[in-house]
Amino acid sequence: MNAPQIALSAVLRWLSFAFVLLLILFLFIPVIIIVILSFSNATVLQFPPEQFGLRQYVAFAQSQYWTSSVIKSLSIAFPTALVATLVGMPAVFAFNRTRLPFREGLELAGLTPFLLPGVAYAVALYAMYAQFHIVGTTVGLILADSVIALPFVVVIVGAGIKRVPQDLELVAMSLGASRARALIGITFRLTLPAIGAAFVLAFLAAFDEATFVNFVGGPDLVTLPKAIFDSLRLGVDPLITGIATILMVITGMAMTAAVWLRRT
Amino acid sequence: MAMARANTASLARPTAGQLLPISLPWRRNRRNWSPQPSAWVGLLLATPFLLMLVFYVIYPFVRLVQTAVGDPGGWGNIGLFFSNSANVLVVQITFRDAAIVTAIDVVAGGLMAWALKSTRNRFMRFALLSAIFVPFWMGSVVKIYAFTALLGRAGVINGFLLNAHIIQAPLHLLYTQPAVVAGMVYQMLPLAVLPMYVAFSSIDTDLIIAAEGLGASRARAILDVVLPLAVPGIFATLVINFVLALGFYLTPVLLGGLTSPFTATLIQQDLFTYSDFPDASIGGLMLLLGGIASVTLGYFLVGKDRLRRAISA
Repeated sequence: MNAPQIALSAVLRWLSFAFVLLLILFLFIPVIIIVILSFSNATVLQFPPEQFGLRQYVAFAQSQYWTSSVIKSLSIAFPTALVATLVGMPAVFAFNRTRLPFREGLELAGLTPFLLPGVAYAVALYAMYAQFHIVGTTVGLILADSVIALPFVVVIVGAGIKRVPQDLELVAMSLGASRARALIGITFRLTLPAIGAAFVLAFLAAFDEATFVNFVGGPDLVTLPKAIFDSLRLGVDPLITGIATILMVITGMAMTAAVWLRRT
Repeated sequence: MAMARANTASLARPTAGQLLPISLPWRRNRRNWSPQPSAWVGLLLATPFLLMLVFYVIYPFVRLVQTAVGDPGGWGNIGLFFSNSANVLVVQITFRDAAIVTAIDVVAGGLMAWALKSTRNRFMRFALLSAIFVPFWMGSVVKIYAFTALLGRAGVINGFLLNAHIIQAPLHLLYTQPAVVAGMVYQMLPLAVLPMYVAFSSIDTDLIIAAEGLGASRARAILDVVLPLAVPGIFATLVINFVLALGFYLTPVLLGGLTSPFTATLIQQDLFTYSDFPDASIGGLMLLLGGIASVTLGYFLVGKDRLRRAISA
């Protein structure tokens, strides 16, 4: 290497280092803005805030509209996660532990809801729901959200079960266990942490879902993301920063828990 | 006696299942014991999943096509859709901006993934990891809210620039195409870093040292030795990011404003303002076809395993 080449390498390295630092900043700025604004006492957007306080949190807690939207979100996300787990988990067992034909292709098919462009999917579901007149029903929204949560379950439970050696089942069966007993007592039990992680992530995905609810939720199903969406179309209400900060803390803890569950 | 002999004979001969690489369940010798439950048990376990695929993946898209080419004009609906030059422009802009977002994300995400792989600095590693994961904690709508707060007329950027006397009047930042692109880049950047990090982590960094030892510059070593190894992973990320970018709904509608030239906005207006189902369905169909085309391309170029690994990350 000659001197200009070394200089060029050094320049390139510093440039990419600076660029990466900028990207880190870019990823953090919206988070920081939301948290700072949530502790401002202003009723309109104002940066930097003139007066700090807990107004956004108090206003949120006192607003029936916002609190009921949170309850609505919870009452949809919980059954959604349950349905997605109960549909996805047995299927993953079937794909990895039985002689079902076309297993691999079916497991890949379980990822399609993630790979289809979201808007196209929402319109397609809306067309179907309109045909059967189930737009705006809670059950309809839960089922639609479960399809979005299904790939999380397929991927996470699938990764979990692939880490359990099948030999353990053979050992159990050689010691007299039936196939079912070996599958449930060994493989299922060892996959439980992954199933828990899948449930948590499916719940978070459903809680955060904001596209489908706009299409198949109708005007009356107001979940929290939908309420924020509606309010954003009218303007920027600083109250949202309060609930956003609370959610960030809860989501962060839940995701950390899910990651921890996947590791054990 | 004859039957018993036949039985032993069939046991001695290799069965079709052992000869062929694929073994169909109904061809298998039933007397062969297998530790795995039968195909029927598997079918039973997978039934809810299969039903969901049929009713919530296959049928809706059949319905989408039916609506698109149904009343009022049949297949003529599509001709009508594209005879409107505004619609053509909107579809073009949607695909172009999805490509721009994907390109930015893959370059930026690739750099971040490489930095994450190669850094020895613990603080840098922590900063990178938290920059990738903390945005996941924010809800998708909250991210858009943050961009509205940043870019709005009375937003953070305008406030900062006005206070610093760099500009005299607030800039028009929100409800523009760059605003939509910035919002989408932000939301997908972490999703670009993770699969590329997984792809990069299998590359041996000693190769760079080896190449340098043979006289290559660092840039040359990265371009000629490391990049070719990373290309499949990068390509899988590219495909997945492009499909996701095509599907964005909230960002174009909220950051682009009511009249932004994005298919998502067009669909939203067709459905909820004009009740024009066929037009909305055709818009959706265009995005769907774009998505299927890019996934198919990815499938043939990098294979399903890499695509799956990119999704799983």
